[in-house]
Amino acid sequence: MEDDDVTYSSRHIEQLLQCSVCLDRFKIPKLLPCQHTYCQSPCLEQLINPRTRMIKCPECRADHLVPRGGTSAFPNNITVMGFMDLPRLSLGEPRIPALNRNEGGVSSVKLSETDAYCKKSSGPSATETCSRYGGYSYGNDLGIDHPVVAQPPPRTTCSSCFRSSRLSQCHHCQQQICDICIRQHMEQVKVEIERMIYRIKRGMPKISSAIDDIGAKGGQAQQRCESAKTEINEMFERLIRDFKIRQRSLLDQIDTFLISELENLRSQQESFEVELASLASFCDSSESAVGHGSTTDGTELMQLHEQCEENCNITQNFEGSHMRRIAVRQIDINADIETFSETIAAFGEIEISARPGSRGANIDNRSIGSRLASRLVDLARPTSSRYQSYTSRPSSRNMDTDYGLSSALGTHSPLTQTHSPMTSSPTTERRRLLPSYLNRDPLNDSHRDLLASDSDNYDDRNTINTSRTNTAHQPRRRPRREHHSDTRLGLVSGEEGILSRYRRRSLGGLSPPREEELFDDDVEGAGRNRPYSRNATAGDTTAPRPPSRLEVPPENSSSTSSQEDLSTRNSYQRPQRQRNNQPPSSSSSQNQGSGRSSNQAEPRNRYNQKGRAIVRFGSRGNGFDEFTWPRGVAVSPIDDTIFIADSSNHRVQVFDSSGDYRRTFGSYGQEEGEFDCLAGITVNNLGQVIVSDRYNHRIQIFDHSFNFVTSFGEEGSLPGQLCYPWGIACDNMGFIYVCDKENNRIQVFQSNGAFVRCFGEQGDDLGQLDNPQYVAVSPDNKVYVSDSSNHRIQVFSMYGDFLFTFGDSGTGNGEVKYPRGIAIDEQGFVAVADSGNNRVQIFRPNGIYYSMFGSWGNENGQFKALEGLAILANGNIVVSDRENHRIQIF
Amino acid sequence: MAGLPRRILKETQRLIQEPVPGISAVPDENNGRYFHVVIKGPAESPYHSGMFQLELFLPEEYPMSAPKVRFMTKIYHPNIDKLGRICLDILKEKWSPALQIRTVLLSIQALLSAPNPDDPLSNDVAEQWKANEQLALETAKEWTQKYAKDKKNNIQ
Repeated sequence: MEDDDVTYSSRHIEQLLQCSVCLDRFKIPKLLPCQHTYCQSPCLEQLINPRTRMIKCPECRADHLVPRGGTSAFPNNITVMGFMDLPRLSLGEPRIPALNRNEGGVSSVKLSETDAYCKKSSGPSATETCSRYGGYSYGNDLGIDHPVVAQPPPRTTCSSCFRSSRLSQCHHCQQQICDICIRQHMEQVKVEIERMIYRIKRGMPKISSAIDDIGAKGGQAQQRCESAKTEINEMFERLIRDFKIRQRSLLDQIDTFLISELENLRSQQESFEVELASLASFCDSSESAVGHGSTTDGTELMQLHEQCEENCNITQNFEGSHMRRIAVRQIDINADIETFSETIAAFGEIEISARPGSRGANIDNRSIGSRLASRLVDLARPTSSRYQSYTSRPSSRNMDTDYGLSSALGTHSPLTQTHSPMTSSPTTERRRLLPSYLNRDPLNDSHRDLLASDSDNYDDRNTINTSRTNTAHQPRRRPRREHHSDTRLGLVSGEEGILSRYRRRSLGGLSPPREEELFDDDVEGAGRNRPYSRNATAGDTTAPRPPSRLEVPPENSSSTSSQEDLSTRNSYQRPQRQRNNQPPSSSSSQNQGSGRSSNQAEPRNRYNQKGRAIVRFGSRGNGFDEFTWPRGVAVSPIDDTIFIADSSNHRVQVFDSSGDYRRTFGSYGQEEGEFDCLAGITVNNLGQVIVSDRYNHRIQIFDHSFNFVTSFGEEGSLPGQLCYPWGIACDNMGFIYVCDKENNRIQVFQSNGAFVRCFGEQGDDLGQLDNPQYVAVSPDNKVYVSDSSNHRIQVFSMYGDFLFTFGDSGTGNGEVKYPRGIAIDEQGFVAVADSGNNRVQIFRPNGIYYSMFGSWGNENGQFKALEGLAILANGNIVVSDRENHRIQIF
Repeated sequence: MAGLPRRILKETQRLIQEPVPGISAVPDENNGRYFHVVIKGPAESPYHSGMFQLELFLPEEYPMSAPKVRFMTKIYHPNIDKLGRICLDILKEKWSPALQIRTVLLSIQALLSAPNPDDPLSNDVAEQWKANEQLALETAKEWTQKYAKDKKNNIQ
């Protein structure tokens, strides 16, 4: 080691040995694949994106995947480590430390002076040992670790001043030091102790924050229990509702039966009346012929006689032959109450489990909070992690486990849960819910109501069938894998008034088109001719008997199975193939509209005739009905109020459906009810206005009178955190879908803001996103995302599974450039704001191009940079024409 | 100052010891994360000879998240709005922990030399910039004279 090297380069070396993140000397220098070096901890650790497990190099912004072993698996930068050893080596020579000190200690910055004391005198061998440890000891900050140097040989001179004096041994570093130097030495030790105390103090907040955390957990537990209770209540309310519907349906069947019987009897009566009349008139005419003895010859009399004999026969035989035909048929009601009661008694269970490896501070509370909608924390129960129970339970208990899970996680809608215990053996060690109020006798109910049934609510049996079928569809469509708390259903339950429109939409939405295809033969068969025989007997299935069944003996036909009652649905091996009724009622036409049929059908909204704006309003400014860069638009599903996210005025403006100004709310700021460049806006079925507050990285919710309700989200890339949220949408169950634009993903929240899931990541493959800007949910709960920088629309299931994509970069029909706003009508037609081409394109639900309108400019029907879209109930499209600072309605 | 991370201390020290030409950044006496910044309008720009005051705040997560910077002096610039907020990618999504207060302020200085009306924050300014650049430059000069002149800050 040449002196020259050390002296002239130490300053530069020091610069090279500085981590560009902490601006400190490297601690365990790790080399990234892009050849940039950072400290392993805390710098690299902090750089990890917890969601993607990637590190973006601060120097060159290259993305690197963190190896499985964490940051420690990145290779050490051996060159840098070698340089870091350099000054230590040179310290071995007594002259050089002095030199370094003259330079302001540049090259020995990290070496604490105490170390220097220890080493200066310890001779060449000790120095070597020291330096060998030295490279590693940097792992700890500020040289607090003293490499244990081999016991030095006993000295006779002070290791500091090299003068022989009264020596004593330093307990700290085992050196012989004279009394004069030891005071100085102890000062050094004190400084070091102070430094360590400072570090301890810095660590203390972690512990106190853990204490806070525990406090918060208590609150969480309470909250979870509350939400579990709510969920149970909702579940049972829903079951009761379904029960009522079933009751209605059975009663209606009986009404139907009665009507047809009466019809039969009436026609019988008519034919008899005709017969009676003809006989009477025959008698009259014969009497007159015979009575007056007028000119009747023999042959005529003979004919009369014959006719009389015939009619005599008819009247005599009448009793026997005809009376049988009009016998009133028997009605029996068959319901397996025993089994059903048992099922009810065993219905539902609470599963409690601790989180796997829950270590205080590390838990991501937000995500548990949402997962554990109804999970409670119970220490008494053996820890069964959610993941284990999915995979590693013995198969014999699978059903049971699965069920318990689903109940605990709220995976299924209550209807599915009803059935599960039928097939699963009731496990006794779990606490069962005993819904006593459900445990009544449906048979008796049916009987009672049969007598009282009035025939005027008989209309078309299909009406009721369909409406019930639709609710019944919902559980089956949900795959079992997701935690999907049903609290949102509770949101709408019970508020009948507000929901008329909601129901109309949701009925359409919830019935999947696929499942409606196979039914025609049933209707054509027994079903239509003999309406009272429609009850599925489901005799060919192995399933448990239906809880309640209506049978009409004479027409006990083969199973038409078009009726879905609780049991038959459960009993089918492949419930997806379940048949359905042709629903001619009004509610079912909604069905068709939103479903498959609209792929071929013409849209009711006549998009191909749009092109000239009916209403235009707004201009640049910040007064009433002036805008500065309007972005998102939304239409209230309740009263068609139009909401405009007036982005750079940091406010929401409200208009009625004809474009008349109503009011404004919000202003610039970071507080509740204040915005910073808001972008997306939507209104849920309760009339709550949900706004993505873009630069504040949060979502705010307002009630229908625009009072602040809540906000959630903060800047970041963890689940539940947001980075420049843009478009926002609600499905008809109240779930909130947010375009987390800079994180290139869609996040789903419950209506109260609890995180549910997120999907999508940066990229241009299927299912990957690049600047997702707007999102919309179709009536059948598909999530349409404008994947803006990939120039396409992607469609996901509500669980985030990629379904299909449409649109390609270009200017032709069906091609898009930087698509932004999306809106979907009740039939499922998709309107896309093709921002780069300054036009609105309409697609069929399956992504086939239908029509377009608009061009660049500031005239009627022209746009400059489109943003949000929304569709009014009458089919008119509201378009936010950003650079023209106006709204157009087509 | 005791609670400040080493990195901030180091940056502060260096800003004071080796100031960037045309920029001064002084930490607030009560809050080491808050800096009073003065940037001298670059020569060859309409902001020439102006002294622009800014505030810079280092959030808790710094350096993992960007500092918050705002112009206190009124300025006519397509990327700076009337509230003084700056549209600069490194202050938003392009922030990197390898950047420092020094580099951020240099970038802002560069933004003054090279306005970017295609990525505007202040829309009307940007529109005018695009429509009539000459007029926009005049306005910028005027505003500089009007608002950024009477400061007595001296920058080395």
